[in-house]
Formats: sequence, C-alpha cells, structure tokens
Amino acid sequence: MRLSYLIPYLLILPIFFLIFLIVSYPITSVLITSFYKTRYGIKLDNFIGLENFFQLIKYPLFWLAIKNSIIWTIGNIILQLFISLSVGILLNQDIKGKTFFQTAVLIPWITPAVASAIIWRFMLEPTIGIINRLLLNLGLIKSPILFLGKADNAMLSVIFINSWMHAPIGILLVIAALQTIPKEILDATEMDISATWQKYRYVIFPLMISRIAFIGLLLFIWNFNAFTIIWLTTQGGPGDATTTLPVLVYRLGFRMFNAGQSAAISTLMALVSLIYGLLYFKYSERGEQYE
Amino acid sequence: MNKLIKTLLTYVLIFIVLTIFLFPFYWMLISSFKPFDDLMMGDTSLIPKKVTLKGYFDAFRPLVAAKDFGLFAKNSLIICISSMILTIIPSMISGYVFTRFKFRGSKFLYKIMLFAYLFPYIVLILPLSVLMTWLNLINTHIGLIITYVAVISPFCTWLFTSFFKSIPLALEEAALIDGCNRLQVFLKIVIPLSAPAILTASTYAFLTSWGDYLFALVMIYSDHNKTIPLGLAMYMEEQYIEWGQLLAGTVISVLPVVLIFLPLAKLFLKGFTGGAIKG
Repeated sequence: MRLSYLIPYLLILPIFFLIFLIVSYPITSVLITSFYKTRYGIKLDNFIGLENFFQLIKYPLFWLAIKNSIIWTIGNIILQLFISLSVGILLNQDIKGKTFFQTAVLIPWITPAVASAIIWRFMLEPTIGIINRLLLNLGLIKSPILFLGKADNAMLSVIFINSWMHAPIGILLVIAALQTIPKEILDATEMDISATWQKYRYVIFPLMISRIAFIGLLLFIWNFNAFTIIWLTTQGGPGDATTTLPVLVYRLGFRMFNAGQSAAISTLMALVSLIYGLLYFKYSERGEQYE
Repeated sequence: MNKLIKTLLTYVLIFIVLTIFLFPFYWMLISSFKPFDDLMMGDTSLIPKKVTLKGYFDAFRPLVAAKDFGLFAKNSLIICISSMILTIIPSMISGYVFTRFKFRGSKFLYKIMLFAYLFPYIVLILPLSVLMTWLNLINTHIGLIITYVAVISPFCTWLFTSFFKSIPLALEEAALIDGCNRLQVFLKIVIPLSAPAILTASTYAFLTSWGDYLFALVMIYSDHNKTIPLGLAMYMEEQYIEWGQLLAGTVISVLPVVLIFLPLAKLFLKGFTGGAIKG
C-alpha cells in the first residue's frame, strides 16, 4: 500500500529531476549570485546585499536596455497582433486551398532562427541585398538604406524580422479562436466591406476578446524574452540601439564578465516571468471553468 | 458580381501575404545556386541566369576542416534524434500520470512544470554553463541532449496530458476490469491510441532542438562538436562572408524542417492549438 502511494511520484521523477537540474538549480544560483560580488566572471567573492542592484540603477546601459525592451516588446506585440488578426481572418474564409495556405504561412515559424537571420541579413544587405537593389532600380531611394547597420533603423528592422518569424503562431491561434465562433455568424454574407467590418467590430471581436487577450499574453512573454534573433542580426548594436534586457544579460555575463550584474538583471527578468506565470495560470484556470 | 469581386480580392490579398512569408525562402533557395559573381553584383533576377553547385561543394568539402558542414549536420542529427527519443518516453509517462493518477501535489507539480516551460532561458545559461563544466559535460553532445530533454519535456508532457484527457476513461476501465494492470493498459490501449500525440510531440521536440542556438552557443565551443546553427553563425561572423556557402548551408538547415513538418502539419496544428487556446 505504501509503495503504490509512491508510484506516481516515481514515474514523474525523471522529468522533475531534469527540470531541477537544468532549470531550478540555475535559477537559484542566479538569485544567490545577484547578492554577491563576483570575480573572473563567475567566482563568488563576498556578500554585498543589494549592491549589484544599486549599481544597475546608476548604469545608463541598464536604463537604455529597459527602454529598448519596452519598445521591442510593445512594437512586436502590436505588429504581431495586427498581422495575426488580419491574416487569421483572411485565411479563415471559406475558400479553396485554405488548409494549404494556413500551413504555408507557418513555415517562417518552424524555420531555425539562425536561418531566418541569415535570409534577412542577405536580403537587407546594403550593397548586394535584393531589397536595396530593387528600391534603387525603381528610383525610390538614391543611396542604399542601412537597415541593420544604422541605429535609427536597426530596431525597426529587427522588430519586422522577429514579427515575420512569430506572427504565424499568432495567426494559428487566431484561426483556432475564430473556429469557436458560431458558423452562422461567421459565414453570414454581408452587403459590402463596411458591413463586414461592422460584423467583426461589433459581433465577432467581442466574442473573441478574452481569447485575443490570451494570445497577447503569450506574445508578451515570447517577445520579451527574445534573444537569438537580435543577437544574430545586430548583436545588440549598432552602438547599443537593439540591446534589450536579454541581450544585456548575455553581454554582461559572457562578454563583459560581470556575472553579478548579469544575475541582478536576470533576477528582475525572473520576477517578471513569475508575475506573468501567475497571470497565465489565473487566466487558464478561468478558461477551464467556462469550458 | 459582388461575390466574385470579393473572392478575387481575397485571393489577391492571400497572394500578397504568402509572398511576404514565403518569398524570402524562394530567394534563399535560388540564390544558393547563383555563381559568386552574380551574388556579389546583387543580381535581382528571379530565375538564376547561371546555376552552380559551388556553394554546396564549399560547404561539404571546405578548405578549412573546421568549417565542415557535413560534420555540423551529423552532430545536429545525433543530438536532435537523441533528444527527441529521450523526451518522448518520459513525457508520455508523466502526461499519463498527470491525467489518470490522483496524488497529493499533482496540480502544484504540474504548474511548476509549465512554469519551467515559460521561463526565460537566457536567465539560465550562465549558471548552466558553470554546472555543465562541473559535471564535465561542457562541450559534449550529452550535455546538450540533457538540456534539450529538460527544456522540451514540459511542453511535450502538456501535449500528452491534453491528448490523454480526450481518451474515454471507460475504455481503460473496461480493460482494468478484464484483469489488465495499469502497465498493460498503458502499453496495450493508451500507446496505440496515441499515435497522433506521439507524432506531434516528436515533431515539436525535433524542431525545437534542431533550431536551438542559445544553449548550443554557451555549451559547445569546439568546432568538431558544433551543430548546424552554430556552424552557420560561424560562417556569418567571417570578415568576408562567403554567401554561396552560407546560403547552401541555410537551405540544408531549413529543408528537413519543412519536409518533416508539411506532411504532419494538420495533425500538429490540431494538437498544438487544441489545448493552447483553452489554456
């Protein structure tokens, strides 16, 4: 009897052991490190309380990273929600080849981030990139645009690339949400475009609003934590123009060998995730009740 | 007439959307076959004037041994297939336990697991690389495989949980009454019914480990251990980027993903959104 009580715990042990080793242990280690002075990158020196956090407050790059993170996250969420909703509605129409179109738009999302970074760097290249060549040939610009190489453009360009990669999952979730709307409402043919818009504005969107909010919540955490695509396109530059908080965590930890401050930012990011996690669970539990 | 215009407009819009999402892939593919001179001239022709396989030869038979794309591909395949198999088995068992067993703390543990999935990985990498050094697993395939299994399992467990919930309990109860034990029920009834979930979870596990750059970046430093993403990033960091070779490698990194995904897409989408939208 005793033994059978233990069985479920034993069965889930392998996964929880790995989660402990690869996730929980590092989180704890980061928390501890954030209260210590560090040497040679990782070695803990002496306990300094909140000193790492106070240092951050005086560190201009930290504030710039926060500003960049806010622009990055909001810009991406707005762009991705816009694309998801408009393309989601478009691809949910009763048309031939619907499944094919829905699958095809997902390809950027399953593509390795490195490949997307290379493809876009190749297309946005100032001298050999097709986009600059076309704009020059059409006479729309006189000299090539430095999409990734100029501080003013870099943030916008990477937001675009990132949204190109991540909007597909939003589209997918919007289509799934649209499928919960009664078919009679969705398929009712309207007289013209403005009547269609009114139908969405006053009938369909209100029905979907909680699901759209949930998609927004998911998009928040995916975009807020994004590192790879920024690192592979601009490395946080030019200057520090695209250095968001995750990029700063990496740069402090692996390039500037300042583990203490890297850990302090990590701790703040972990807090954001914790708050997010609580919101997420609160929402998903409410969702289950209505099922 | 009105309806005809509407349909036409829909197709035009779909064409524009597909162009935005897919043209970059077409451009990558045809550019990988263009000769060096055309690439450097910024040739904009949509069908290559001259075709060459030089980029592919350069990738697989490089002048410098460290840039051998074949080796990167081999490493990636070994790591991704191992991670996939090692993820699926415990995820399936845990998914089943979370669906069918009642035990103290199950809800809490389930949330802890989902939280591990939502957690920003960037926060983990520095202590993780220290840990892997202690364990003597830094710069090894095993270290990377363990990491992938740990970060991919929570989502796969969740996929299995939402799938098992849809299997009628009566089916399993009948078998239990007939004298099967839990293990037999799992092996003879649950697993055969779970083919769609197994395929979905395997695809997810493979795609995620295949595309990972961050963990590989902090854990692998020898050229002969590098995976495809690391190898491609290395090509890209060169002073003079050899676009032919780089694009050829990129095509090879995307191709298997698309080939595996497309036939399974319908299944995958169902499993993926079935629960996701409900939370």
